[in-house]
Amino acid sequence: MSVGRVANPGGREELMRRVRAALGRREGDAGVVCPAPPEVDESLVRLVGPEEGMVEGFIARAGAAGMKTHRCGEGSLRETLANVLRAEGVRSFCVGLPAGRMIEAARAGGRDAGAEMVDYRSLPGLQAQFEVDAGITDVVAAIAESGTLVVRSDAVRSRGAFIVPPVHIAIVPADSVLPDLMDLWRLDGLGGEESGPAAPTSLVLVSGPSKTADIEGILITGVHGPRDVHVVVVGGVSAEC
Amino acid sequence: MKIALFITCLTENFYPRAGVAVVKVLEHLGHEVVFPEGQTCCGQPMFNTGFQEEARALAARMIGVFAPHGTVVTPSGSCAAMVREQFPRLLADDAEMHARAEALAGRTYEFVEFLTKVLRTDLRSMGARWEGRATYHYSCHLRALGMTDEAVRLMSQVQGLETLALEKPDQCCGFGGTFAVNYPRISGEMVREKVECVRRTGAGTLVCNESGCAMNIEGACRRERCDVRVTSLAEIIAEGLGLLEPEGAV
Amino acid sequence: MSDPGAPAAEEGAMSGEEILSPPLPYRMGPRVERAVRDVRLRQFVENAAELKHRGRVNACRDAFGERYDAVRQLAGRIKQHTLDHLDHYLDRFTAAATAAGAVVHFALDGAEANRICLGLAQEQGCRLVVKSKSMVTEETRLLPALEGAGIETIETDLGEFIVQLDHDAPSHIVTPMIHKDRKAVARAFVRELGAEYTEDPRRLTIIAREHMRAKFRRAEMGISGANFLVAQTGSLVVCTNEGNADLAMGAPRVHVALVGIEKLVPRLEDLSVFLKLLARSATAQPLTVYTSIITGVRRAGEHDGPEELHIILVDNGRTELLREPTRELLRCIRCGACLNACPVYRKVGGGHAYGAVYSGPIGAVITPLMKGLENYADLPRASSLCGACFQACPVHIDIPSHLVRLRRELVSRRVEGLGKRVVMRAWAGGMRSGLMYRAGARVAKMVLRALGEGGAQGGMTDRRWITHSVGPLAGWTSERDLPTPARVSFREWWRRERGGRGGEGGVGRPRGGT
Repeated sequence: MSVGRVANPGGREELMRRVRAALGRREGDAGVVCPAPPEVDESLVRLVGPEEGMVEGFIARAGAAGMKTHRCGEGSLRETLANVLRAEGVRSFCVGLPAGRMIEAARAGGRDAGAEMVDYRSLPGLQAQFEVDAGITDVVAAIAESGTLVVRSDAVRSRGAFIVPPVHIAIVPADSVLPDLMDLWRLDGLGGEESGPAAPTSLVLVSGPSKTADIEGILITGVHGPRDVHVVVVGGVSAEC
Repeated sequence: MKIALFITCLTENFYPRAGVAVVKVLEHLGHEVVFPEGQTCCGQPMFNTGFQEEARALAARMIGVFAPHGTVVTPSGSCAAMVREQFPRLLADDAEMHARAEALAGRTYEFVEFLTKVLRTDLRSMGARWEGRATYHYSCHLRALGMTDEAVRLMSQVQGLETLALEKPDQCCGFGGTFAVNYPRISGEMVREKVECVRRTGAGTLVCNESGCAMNIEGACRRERCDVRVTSLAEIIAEGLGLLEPEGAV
Repeated sequence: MSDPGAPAAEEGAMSGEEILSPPLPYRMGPRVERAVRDVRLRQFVENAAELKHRGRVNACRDAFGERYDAVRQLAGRIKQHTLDHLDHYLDRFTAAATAAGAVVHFALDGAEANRICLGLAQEQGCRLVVKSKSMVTEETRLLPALEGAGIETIETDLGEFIVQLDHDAPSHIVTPMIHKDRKAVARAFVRELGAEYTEDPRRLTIIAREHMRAKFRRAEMGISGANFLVAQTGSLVVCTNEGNADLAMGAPRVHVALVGIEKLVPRLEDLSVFLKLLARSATAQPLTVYTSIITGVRRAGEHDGPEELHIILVDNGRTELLREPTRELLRCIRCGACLNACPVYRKVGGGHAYGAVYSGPIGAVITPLMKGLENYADLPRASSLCGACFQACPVHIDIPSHLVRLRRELVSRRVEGLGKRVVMRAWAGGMRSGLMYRAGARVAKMVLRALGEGGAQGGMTDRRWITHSVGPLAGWTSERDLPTPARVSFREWWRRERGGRGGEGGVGRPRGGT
């Protein structure tokens, strides 16, 4: 990771001087201890608890947010992906998936549907993803309360897979569904731990297809990002139906 | 209970019948009503227009006038809010006056609030009967008192009274004291919309428990030829209990 | 004065610059007059804002129910805590952001923020910049600054894009083109993009999408604001429904974020409170479609994302607001709920009547503070103090109290004219004496009843009506009739009915009682 810096230490000094003056800090107050911020009170902020049929709730909320939901078992992920790719008429797609069963299912499902899996690294930046019809990603988590997908970027996940192509397909293992947004920050690797890794360069909470209501309040999907988001929930209680 | 009536300057002069109705209803409920004659204005117009010192002086004066009395009831939500919210703030830098302001704030109630939250009045058991279709204007300052639909619930307890819902019930009528005079175009648009909402209900009566709003809406109804009688809930209750002759016969 | 087919904002001669930088001192009158006469525009804004207002009320009630008030107070407390220790959190943010590879700049005012941003663009040899919506860049007027230097800059939020094409100004914090209809969009696309005329919102959206995708692919720099800064992680949090920010921040090689210093929150977990409230307050959604938490630059092994991230922390008057008693105004998360709730905003045809970037109730408070109370004296006065804004505010800012405080300053700094001061002081003086008050009431009754017409229906409510007047009451009677005092005042009734027991503490005889 390249190391950042303060570009104008003089400007910083002056701005901080103004802040301290406005806060009524006096000389020598520099070491003022900041008390802990107010607690984020669970009893107020939490809207969905772990007991409340989370996976079904997530599917219902994701549907209400305008995403298309599918359920399948581990064994039928390939088939489900192929069906979605076919239904959307996808001829090429990129993935943001780690090595393992999901990427294999995507590759095979793509073959079944006659869609080519394109390496997002084949062109600089996000360019390759501007050329394909769909992006397939996994999720860090999904949130039942708002029907939200949480996607991240890293060495195997592009920043563009969920936003650049006109169709986004998200693979959501049932056990990755969390009840409430409050539960997200407790996951490892998001920057919340004192001495853990930094937050991902990009962590995006996706709650529906790209939307606008700027023209007379009329809801239109697919403005800049995908017009369709497919959520494939894998496993869970009624998994093998 | 002995209750001191804070009539407010607008009700005293423009809507006296609302004040009379408050007196008669409270007396009917077995309470003794006193009227401290030294009262004038709570200072709300001065406070709202930024004349802080003048508002302070009137607040202090009013605290004095009501000092000998216990519970204070007023037909106006905005004047009740002035006493409760602003008097203590206005007098914050004078410990003694501040304490007296807090004390007055703690025993001052808007009339409907007093009926519903203190007396827990149930008009059904009292046999209130009033024939007609009415809609209700929610005055903005009831927000500051934490009031929502208390008046509507009381209205539903009056036999024969059909309460019709008003569109945009939480939208200000455009009175706002000197605002109505200084920004007539904006205020005029606001009150005309209110009149249209009232008209669309088809109600023959508008219940409005705030004299400022009533002056504004009634004046606009007259200008816009919307034939609606503007009255207060106190008057409806008083009429419904036979304590007040129907309008025009007091 | 307006063609019924076109809303005023487009056909009018006023450019965005003229709308946002009017001659000072600014007077609302002409723009209010214009809006009031433009029935179409006014209805359009009224309906759009009212719809959003209802949506917010329902969304907050459905989610939080009775807890809602406590939730917004908690949000207010977290923001207040952050502001109370802003020095600490700025340091913490700077440390975390630079550790993640960001370059942090400090801009004391808008001009400096623009200068830094323009400098970066020129340094990189940028010819094309894509920009996502940001109120602070509206405040600094960044777009004209970049365009003036010959750098093509595209607003990528659909509403902002159309405002840009029309050389107009946003009229709402969240929905910048709340004052424009589909015809205006169609005309702008024909005129500026050479598109075929269509009024179909879907086809209009596709035209914009195709136009902008080409820009996203070519742009060398992306500019964003941020809804929040997380001190703990050095992250920017950017919320959009369209996804334009993710493209603007993710596609170009350089990302520049301009952010007000008040956007800080301490921790990631605080976002639970703010994201839930922001989305519901702004657009009645559980969460905004894309909430992007961006931390640092492209890391080893990562294929995409910007190689440079510049975060410009902007003061531009905020450290003045940070002093008491105005500190709580910096809690504002720019959700627009107070605009939608405000009957004045809705009746004046939206934000342009406020003559500055921030409109509605929050604008009526912060514009005078940032640009001079003498310059914007109308803003705090043009309010009925109805309190709808306070009730709508997700971070519990008591906006009406700030309006009243500004009015006090207008009096103490003698911006209020002598006439008004004399009248109000005389009025207040009269009210300080029971005798004067009663005499005044009698005189007013006599004079007003003499001026009135109608009445004589009998009974104590018997009142007359004044339909025309000059002088101080002209503003009343220009819009509605003025009732005169009733024939018999309450006091007169009391004395008559409660005979003689009307002195100080006069007692009425209990009657009736069941």
